[in-house]
Amino acid sequence: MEENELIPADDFCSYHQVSWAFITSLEDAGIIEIKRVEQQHFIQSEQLKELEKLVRLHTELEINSEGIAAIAHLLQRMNELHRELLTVRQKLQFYEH
Amino acid sequence: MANFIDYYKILGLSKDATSDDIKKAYRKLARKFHPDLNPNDTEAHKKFQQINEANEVLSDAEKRKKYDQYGENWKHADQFEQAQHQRSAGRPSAEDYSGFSGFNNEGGDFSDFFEQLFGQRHSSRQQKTNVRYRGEDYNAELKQKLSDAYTTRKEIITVNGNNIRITIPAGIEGGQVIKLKGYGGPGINGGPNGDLYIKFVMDNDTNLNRTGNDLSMTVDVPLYTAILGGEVTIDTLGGKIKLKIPPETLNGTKTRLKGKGFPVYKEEGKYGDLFITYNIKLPTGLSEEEKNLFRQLANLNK
Repeated sequence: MEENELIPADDFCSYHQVSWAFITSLEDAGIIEIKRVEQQHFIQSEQLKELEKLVRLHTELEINSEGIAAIAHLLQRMNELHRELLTVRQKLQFYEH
Repeated sequence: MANFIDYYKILGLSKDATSDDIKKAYRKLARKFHPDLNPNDTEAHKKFQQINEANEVLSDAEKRKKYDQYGENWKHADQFEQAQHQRSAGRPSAEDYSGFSGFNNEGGDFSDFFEQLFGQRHSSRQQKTNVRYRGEDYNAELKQKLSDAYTTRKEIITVNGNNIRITIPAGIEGGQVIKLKGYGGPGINGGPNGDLYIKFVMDNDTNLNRTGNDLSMTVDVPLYTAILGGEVTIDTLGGKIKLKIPPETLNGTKTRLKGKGFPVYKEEGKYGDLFITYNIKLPTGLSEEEKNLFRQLANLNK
């Protein structure tokens, strides 16, 4: 697994048929981080999951990068709330018993 | 036999919908139910699947024609199908707008109805819908007894025929997910493997309630101990504990034993607290002598 830690951004873009501009716009929005090594661009493999999700939303629902940035923040917020809900439910259970 | 599926109804359309209507309706619903926008929502995933299938049929002129023609009598479509296959063999795909890929493995197949009417999905489309570079993530559930979660343990689990040795740290919680990097599906074109997510389901085999790292329990105290003070020994996951009961302890009194709760996840030597509620047990089946003594007590308080 270690050898796959950095994914060449070109490979990623051509595989997914997304523009490099889309990737950089996500970087500008602070959603992903791009590594630059000797003028080459790389994506960290641990960010691939999130990135591929956003790429799917971009290509499949035709949402532009501004929209994707907003969605990414909302999804994150939703995740936090979901986790909080689970904790609160657990606490409530304690009082209902 | 599979049941007839009303694809128009799924997309909220009438039968005379134009291809533009279909496209619009599909996109509108897809934006609502896309799995990436609805994490942890299996209902939405199912709905999305249906929308996709409806779109696959209605957005393809030939499939739609066949569907409309046979409608609820689709079971007699065999002959038509044969002719159709011959005609479509050399035809380049008119539609390049393919379906969606957002599903994980589960629910990725179309309905029996679809397959019986149209055969397996066309492979060209199938491949295109599986847009991933990084391998798929796998999800698994692991049942844990609460008493087991008290200590760090090693366990061997089998995923897709592979044995994986995992260490489960003490203090793991129900609903908690641990990630095993690289144990998911294989990557495509040199992409990294997906991950394996193991979700823990807690099975409480104790008389303790757990809230985070804290435990709580009710302890019965005999009336005499509660009035005069004394000791009660309780069993906890960490062993026996002797509790000092102060004189005149009231029913429902709560006490906190610091550090006698559940181990804190990945913080060795750290524990939550144990909350105890005393339940004073009144004696029953009193002898005549005991009753007399209580009467004396009662008279003293008159």
